[in-house]
Amino acid sequence: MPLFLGVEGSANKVGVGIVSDAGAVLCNERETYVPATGTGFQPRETARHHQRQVVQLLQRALRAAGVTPRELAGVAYTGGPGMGAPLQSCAVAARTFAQLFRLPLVPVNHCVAHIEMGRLVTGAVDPAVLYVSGGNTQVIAYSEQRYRVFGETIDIAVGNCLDRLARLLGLSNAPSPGYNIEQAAKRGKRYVPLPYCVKGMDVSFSGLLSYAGELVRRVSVEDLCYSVQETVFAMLVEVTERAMAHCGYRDVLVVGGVGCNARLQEMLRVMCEGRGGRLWGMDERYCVDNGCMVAWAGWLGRGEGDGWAGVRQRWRTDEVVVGWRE
Amino acid sequence: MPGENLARSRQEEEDEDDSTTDLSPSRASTHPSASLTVPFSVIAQGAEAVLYRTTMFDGQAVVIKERFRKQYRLPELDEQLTRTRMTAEARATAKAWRLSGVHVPALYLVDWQRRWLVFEYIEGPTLRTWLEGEGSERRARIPEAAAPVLRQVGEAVSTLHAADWIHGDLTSSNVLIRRSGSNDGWGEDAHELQAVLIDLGLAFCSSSCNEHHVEDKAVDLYVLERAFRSAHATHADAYTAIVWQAYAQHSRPQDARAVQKRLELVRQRGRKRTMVG
Ligand SMILES: Nc1ncnc2c1ncn2[C@@H]1O[C@H](COP(=O)(O)OP(=O)(O)OP(=O)(O)O)[C@@H](O)[C@H]1O
Ligand SMILES: Nc1ncnc2c1ncn2[C@@H]1O[C@H](COP(=O)(O)OP(=O)(O)OP(=O)(O)O)[C@@H](O)[C@H]1O
Ligand SMILES: [Mg+2]
Ligand SMILES: [Mg+2]
Repeated sequence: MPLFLGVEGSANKVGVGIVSDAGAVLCNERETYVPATGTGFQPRETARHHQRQVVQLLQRALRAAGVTPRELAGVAYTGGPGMGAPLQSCAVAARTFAQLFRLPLVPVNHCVAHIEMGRLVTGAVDPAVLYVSGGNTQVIAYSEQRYRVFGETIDIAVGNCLDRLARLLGLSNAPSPGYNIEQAAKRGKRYVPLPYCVKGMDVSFSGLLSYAGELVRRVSVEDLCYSVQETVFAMLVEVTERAMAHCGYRDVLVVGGVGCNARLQEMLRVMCEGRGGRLWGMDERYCVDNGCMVAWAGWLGRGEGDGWAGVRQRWRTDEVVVGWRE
Repeated sequence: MPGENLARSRQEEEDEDDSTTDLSPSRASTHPSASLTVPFSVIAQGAEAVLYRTTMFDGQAVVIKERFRKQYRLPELDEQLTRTRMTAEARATAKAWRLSGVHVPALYLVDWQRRWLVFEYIEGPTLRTWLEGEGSERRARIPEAAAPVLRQVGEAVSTLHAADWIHGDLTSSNVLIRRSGSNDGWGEDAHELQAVLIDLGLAFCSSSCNEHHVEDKAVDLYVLERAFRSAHATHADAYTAIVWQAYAQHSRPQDARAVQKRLELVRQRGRKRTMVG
């Protein structure tokens, strides 16, 4: 039974996971760099965090899975997209590990890893994909060997919008700003209208964020979180549905950290059911960045590489040739 | 009420003609809109609306675009969006209807209560299905064969832009192809085909005194370009080039140059956007 190990570190999470060729998850270890309330994570501090954590995470992962390095068939790491310094730190760790134990090394596209892990965990075969995280907001569908981007944000990612709102509101970054917004929103009662910006299959959040910023002291934290969630999630559901109508999909798979939000999942579920389809969602273990998704995408893409083993801060989802799908 | 009259007349027709079984009441009872009580046939469910086909009192074929309540979003947000979109679509359709060289369905009726816009029915496929080709093997239409239709799209968008209107959702699903000449079939003789723009709910007016107007036009074209790339991968670049060429030839040279420069920036933005903020 070939086993693959994956190292993720493109943003403020560093993770190591091991999966089998059949898609069984043997372990999923993760550490998160949590910056002080009111601040965001900076590349240098984040990289230092990952450098400090990655070795013990590797050891923890091997122990949790009960395997030795020699039992592995290969090592995968996130080659991009993401922040340069954190990516680099984890790439160095993965490269060293691979050389120590003479294992093949596979760079993986982070976005593709999110999608493939989602398909593995949920069993969704060919869904439209909504990928929503701190760095990305894309509506994606597969065709002709690529994950094609139908719609995306034209400015900031939805997770970034939530994270910055949390900062303005003085909400904690632990375990994640988005999680704390979700909790506050549950207590919100009054809907405050906010700018709703959809352009075809694209969305924009920067106008909404600056408008919300001006309401900070005039509207309660709970009501503002509630209103922002209701507005930005409605925008996401609308563009997802438009892509589905355009290409004839019935099912949606939601991946990325914002994808574990229960309200977003509920809205997507209602929309899908209205089209005779269903929503495939996951919890925080596999939605938020993790090592398993990198391991699994590495296993799938093991034959595709051209020997390149660097990092790329920008690496678009649709650049990857998806050789493992029909 | 006209709706009820229509329903009755459809019902009578149905009794005589079995081929219209898709209009049967049993079908109507399962359709997603609770507010519709008369049996019409559903032709499509877009992101915003369900579209039904029926006939007017004079026998004219029409589509009803019903922006039914979206259960996933808050009622107040739904109400506000529906109003905005209905207004935009009615206004822009009426405006485009008067522009020569732009074809849009005639708008017959606005019913705020039922959230209906009623349009002329356009007989023919969407640009999307037409580009995908017909028959069992379904080979994508080669650019040369598609060119006459794609050129019309480019020219129509250019005319719309010259009048300061932005479509807002230019995709191959939002262009219908109808026969304007005498030839039968949807085959290779594309010269007889006419491109009709639909779905102007996201359209808006961007006047040339507005600093964003070049950007808005560039983004309009970029949306179409991306729709080609994602849904018609094989010939996307060639399709885009044909549309652009017609657009540029049909626009004032200085306008075309400004939009082209901006379009390049918009494309760059897509490619270079940083992934973490
Ligand atoms: N319950 C939640 N509700 C809303 N947002 C959440 C929730 N949990 C996490 N998030 C948000 O998800 C984002 C993190 O997601 P994730 O770990 O997938 O991506 P990332 O680190 O930004 O990387 P990338 O964009 O490269 O995938 C953060 O913006 C965080 O606030
Ligand atoms: N006037 C018409 N005549 C014939 N068919 C039409 C007409 N208007 C719309 N349709 C059909 O219905 C489909 C959906 O219509 P439309 O694009 O207006 O709906 P929508 O819900 O706004 O879609 P979107 O998902 O793009 O927002 C079209 O793609 C077309 O197939
Ligand atoms: Mg449409
Ligand atoms: Mg529409």
